[in-house]
Amino acid sequence: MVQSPTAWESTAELMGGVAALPYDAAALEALALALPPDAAALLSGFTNPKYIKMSIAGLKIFNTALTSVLERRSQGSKVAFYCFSFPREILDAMGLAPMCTEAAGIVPVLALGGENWIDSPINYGLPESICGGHKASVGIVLEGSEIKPDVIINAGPGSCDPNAKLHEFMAETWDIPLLNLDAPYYHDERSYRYYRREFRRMVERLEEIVGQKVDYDHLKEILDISNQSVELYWEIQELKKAKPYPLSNIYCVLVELMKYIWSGRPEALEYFEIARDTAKELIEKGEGAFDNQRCRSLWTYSGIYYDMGLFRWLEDNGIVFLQDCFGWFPDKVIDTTSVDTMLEGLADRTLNQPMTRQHKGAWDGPAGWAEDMVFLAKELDADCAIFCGNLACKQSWGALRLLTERLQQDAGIPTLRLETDILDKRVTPGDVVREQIEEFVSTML
Amino acid sequence: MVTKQAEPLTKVCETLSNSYIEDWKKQGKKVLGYTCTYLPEEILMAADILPYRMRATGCGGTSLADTWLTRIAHCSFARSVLELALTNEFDFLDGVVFTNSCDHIRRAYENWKYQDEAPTFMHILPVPHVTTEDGLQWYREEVAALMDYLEKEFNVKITPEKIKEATKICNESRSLLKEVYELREREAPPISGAEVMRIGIASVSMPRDKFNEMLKEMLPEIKNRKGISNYRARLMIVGSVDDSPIFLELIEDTGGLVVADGLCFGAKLFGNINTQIGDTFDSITAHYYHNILCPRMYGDHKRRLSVVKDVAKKANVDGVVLQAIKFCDLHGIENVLLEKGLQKEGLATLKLEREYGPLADMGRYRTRVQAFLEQIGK
Repeated sequence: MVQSPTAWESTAELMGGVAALPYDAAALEALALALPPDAAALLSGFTNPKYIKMSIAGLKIFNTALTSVLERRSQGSKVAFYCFSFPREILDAMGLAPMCTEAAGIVPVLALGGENWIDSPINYGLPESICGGHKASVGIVLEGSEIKPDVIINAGPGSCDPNAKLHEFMAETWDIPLLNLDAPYYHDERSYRYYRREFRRMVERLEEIVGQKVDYDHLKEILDISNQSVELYWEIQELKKAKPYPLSNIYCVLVELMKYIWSGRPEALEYFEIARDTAKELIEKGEGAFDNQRCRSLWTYSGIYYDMGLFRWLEDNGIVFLQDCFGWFPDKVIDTTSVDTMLEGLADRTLNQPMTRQHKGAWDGPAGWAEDMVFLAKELDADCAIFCGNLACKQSWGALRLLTERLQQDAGIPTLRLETDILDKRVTPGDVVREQIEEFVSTML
Repeated sequence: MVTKQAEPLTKVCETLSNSYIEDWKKQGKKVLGYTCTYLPEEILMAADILPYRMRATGCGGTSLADTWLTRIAHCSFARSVLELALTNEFDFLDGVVFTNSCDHIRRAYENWKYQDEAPTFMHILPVPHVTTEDGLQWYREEVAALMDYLEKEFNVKITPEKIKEATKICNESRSLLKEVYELREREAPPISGAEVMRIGIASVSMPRDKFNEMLKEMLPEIKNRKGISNYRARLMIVGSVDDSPIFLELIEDTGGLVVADGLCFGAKLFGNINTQIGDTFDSITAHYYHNILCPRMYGDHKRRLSVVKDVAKKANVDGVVLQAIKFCDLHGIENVLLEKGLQKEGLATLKLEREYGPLADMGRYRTRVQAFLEQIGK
């Protein structure tokens, strides 16, 4: 029996309050004071006064995306869970209610708390060593806080064992169809051809399962918006090179949100436009997004999502969050002239999504972790690297020393190694993380 | 129960290298280590190379490997293999072929490869994670590429005739091992699970034709033994890689006789299902691709569950031990699914998280197994 209101409904309602906010940092801070602690902590990362418009635009998307899924579900659309590295555009164009698997659990936990959702899969018997994000996604259904999805798309095979295996677990446990997308080990033309075939097969199979076809005219419209977002993303990547740094640290996290849960939608495009315009304005004035910048940090894997206030704390302490691997989207514009070009473009883009791109093959192969991180360190003139240390990410932990040495050798920057869970604050509290970062930055500088 | 006749074969697993490997090398022949059942041994044998399934036997600690693969996130098997690699214990190998079996072992490969003293011949065989026609074609292309690499590196020619000959030898191994496994289905099996594992490990640690010869000699004696009847329960064991007969001995000392398994150094050696495979490149690759039944293959869980149920039924097991090495998410998660599936069939299960290594946590395992046997009323 699923509780009412469900976790997503409660989250959407809470975030709906944010949607009504004016572009006013003081109003946001006042709202944060009035909210339960977890929601307050979530909002605290978004209070850079120069970026209030972008922050609120981003926060509204939490509500918009969730509300969209809920509305479509109530209208009978099938809910499709998809691994974050999969493009939701195609699911949108099929009239499904797409929900990023990771966001399905992460967003309610951030907004509402919900350590029981993280714990219940372990009580069910799953290993402790899986990702906190997935624990939450499984937990909200196990606890009866959410309705299970109708179909699952697994884009993790090849790049992350726990991610891929959890998707299979969900499908088997909830007795729902599972579609696997197998990432090839290499990053060459042969691999692209293999993956394009995989992708097309997956789409055809999905159409059979859900009984709905892709509306390619609609997909073209969605991809046109997505393409515009891609162009803005690249424009902003160039602006990131400016000193002082012209973007709020929360930009990177919200970029992930745009891509993972709302890609191809006008609101995501609006977000990029606001970010670009604000950054340009600041650059013209010779200002940074925050004062006293002393360190430009490259986060070599993900950020830390359980403590959104960290991004603001970094700003208050002059530390720039330049980029993280999960927010690195070396996307190309997709040719929308035909069905074939759109499917091929989507397949190619998926192969280059975070985690799949860097970890499907050798750490130091083409488009591998080393290549991307060294490129970004040099491109954005990073002073240091920080590895978030999500304990479930065995594939990145396994190449961490290799990458650390490579970054020192090729980019001249040291790496701070943290040990955290991206969602479970009990593993390493935010205060400890702050201490470690401060010590590292102070020592290095 | 290990008789005098069985000793040589059953001692092979106690050390990394052995006299058979030494004799092989004295002839000027090469030995290649490999880490996963997805590597078709026949290909190496057809190149007159001895395939050696890598273990970390004798690894007493992982202090060096832990500086590359952390002990807070990585499986102790991968770390142990890396430890032995970094301390030159695998120097008897002329090269290695890893597979992208899991995140742990593929990173172990990369950390080893990064070292200045890494072997000259190091190769990874990328296997798809799904069983599709396209995936099989990819796998075949990768195996063919490996063949080319072997030919160039070792100045050999792998011909269809040599593959045929190698397949014949491997098929004989499979038949012989299957015969051993069928003995375990008896009410009073003449052989323990631990001894079977010793034999299994020997099969991938020495020249196969010699192994076949020795096992053929052993079999009549094994069949004629007085069966083991003083057990409390018949158990099946599945899960993460396990090359420790001591671990099985511990289980069997509590009274739980291991009469079936789904292990890498066990039933997976003869492909779980088929004992005889075709002697062509296509048949061999199709067999390895489809029949290993590893949880790294997504979308195939129902088939794996079905095989476990069938094997458990055939061996008349009372319970299934679902073990996984800590941080092994593939088996750790698969075991949860197997647990639910097997319990629906009325089979008792014990989920056991363990560390790789002969002496780690033995007391705890013993207690858990004893409690399990009591729980199932045995």
